[in-house]
Amino acid sequence: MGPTEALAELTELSSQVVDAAILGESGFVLASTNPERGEELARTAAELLAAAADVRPAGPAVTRVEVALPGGSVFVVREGGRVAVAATVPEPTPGLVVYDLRTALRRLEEDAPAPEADGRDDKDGAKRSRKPRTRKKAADA
Amino acid sequence: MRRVLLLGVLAATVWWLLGRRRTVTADRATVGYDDGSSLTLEAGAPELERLLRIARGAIPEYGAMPR
Repeated sequence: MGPTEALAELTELSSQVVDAAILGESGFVLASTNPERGEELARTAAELLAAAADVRPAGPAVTRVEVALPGGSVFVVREGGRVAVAATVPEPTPGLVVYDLRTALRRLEEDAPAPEADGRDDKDGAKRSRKPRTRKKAADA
Repeated sequence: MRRVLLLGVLAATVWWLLGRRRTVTADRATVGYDDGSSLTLEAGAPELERLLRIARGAIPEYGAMPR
């Protein structure tokens, strides 16, 4: 799956994401939901990752940054050398947004040649499929 | 007069509670690390303001905030 398709799927699944972009290893924009804001999101992601790294200078690598503001939140997720960044509506569900961003990044890896195909981080080593966001209502008894 | 005062105090209390809730639910940052640990920065944390300032630039509501 290409970056554009991964982002399309992300925005289709997550109504909380307003704008999102997927960035390459050196920070260039691979895809953006809003072409006019792709570079802006890329710059924001780079600055947030740099600022977050300064929080614990000798600490492990930063893989996730979430910043919540009254007007919305910004999420940056780094995985497999790529970065996904998203601006969301106010008070989103952080776990869900992070999950969706990680899923988008993993979708990209599915197409890429993967020398460590069996060495995934997942505890069970299996590819995860997206579960429906909404619960199905139980059939009326 | 007493009724007006009472109404004013009530309105102020509601306003304060709503503002407090807004403060509690916003203006914070969480940083996750490669080893699975994470750190949440809340109001008063020295590094928080820098992260907030950067993030404002990416949220449409804030428009072109100074970076």
